[in-house]
Amino acid sequence: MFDDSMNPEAEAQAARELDARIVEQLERLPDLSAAIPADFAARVAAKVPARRPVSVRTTHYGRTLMMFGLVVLFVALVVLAKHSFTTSPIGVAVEWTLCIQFLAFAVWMGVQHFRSN
Amino acid sequence: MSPYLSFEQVVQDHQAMVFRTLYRLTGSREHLEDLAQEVFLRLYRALPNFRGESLVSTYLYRITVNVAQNEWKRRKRMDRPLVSISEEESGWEDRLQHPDRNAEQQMEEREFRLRLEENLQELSGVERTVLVLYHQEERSYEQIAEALGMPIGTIRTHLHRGRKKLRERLQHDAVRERRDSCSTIR
Repeated sequence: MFDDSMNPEAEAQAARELDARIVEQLERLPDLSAAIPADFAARVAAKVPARRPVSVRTTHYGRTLMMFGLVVLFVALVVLAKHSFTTSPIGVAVEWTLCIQFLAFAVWMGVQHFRSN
Repeated sequence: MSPYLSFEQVVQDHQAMVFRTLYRLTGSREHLEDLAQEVFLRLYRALPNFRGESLVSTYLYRITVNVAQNEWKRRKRMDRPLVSISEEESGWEDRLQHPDRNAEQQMEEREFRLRLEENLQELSGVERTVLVLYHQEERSYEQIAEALGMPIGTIRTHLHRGRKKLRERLQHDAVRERRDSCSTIR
């Protein structure tokens, strides 16, 4: 293949041929079908640790708090309506504020309920 | 389809690629099954973080190369030389002989293949990896760069350098053999 007495052209030609042989051998896929056990995939899949199940339990802390808020606001409105406090401008402002809050809570809860269905 | 079954399918689809890449990178059939198993277990652990930015195969190549590197380090620690493919029981070399070639040509080709495999194991880890991924696995520069986390220019350099080293070593072997045979005749 290679000789000390080779001229540069022959040497370059031999190098090209050697390169081609190297590439040919590198591209050849080793046949390892006998080395891969038939049940390899099944065994590996059986060895993988089971994933911890993701918690899907939903909580309703926000909705409960909203309900509680609605009840409190309703009671406050009833209590205010029974007293003469509402005759003063401050009393009217407080009652309107509470009323608006009550309505806002009620609408928001209605929308959420509609969306979840 | 349950995730369990789909993982088995992933293993099934890629096992041949993982086995042959590990075989060429480690240069040995020893512990091949254990190493391949380690590759797939690592893949499984990494799957929750896999966002599909790259192909599973590219991801697998990266893991395979890491597992092979660990194996090289382990062998180095144990102070064990790499087991030459030629010293092991021959499998694929013998089965792939061309039917219409004469015995001398076949033997010469077999010797060349064994010398090449031995010299491949003498290259640096990264050169060997690039050569195997480029020629055996037919990966593009971009895919190899992504798998190894290196710039494309560096991959080209390693590929060129690896091939050059292989050629020089094989030339050197051929010249030495010729000299040995001449001195034996004299």
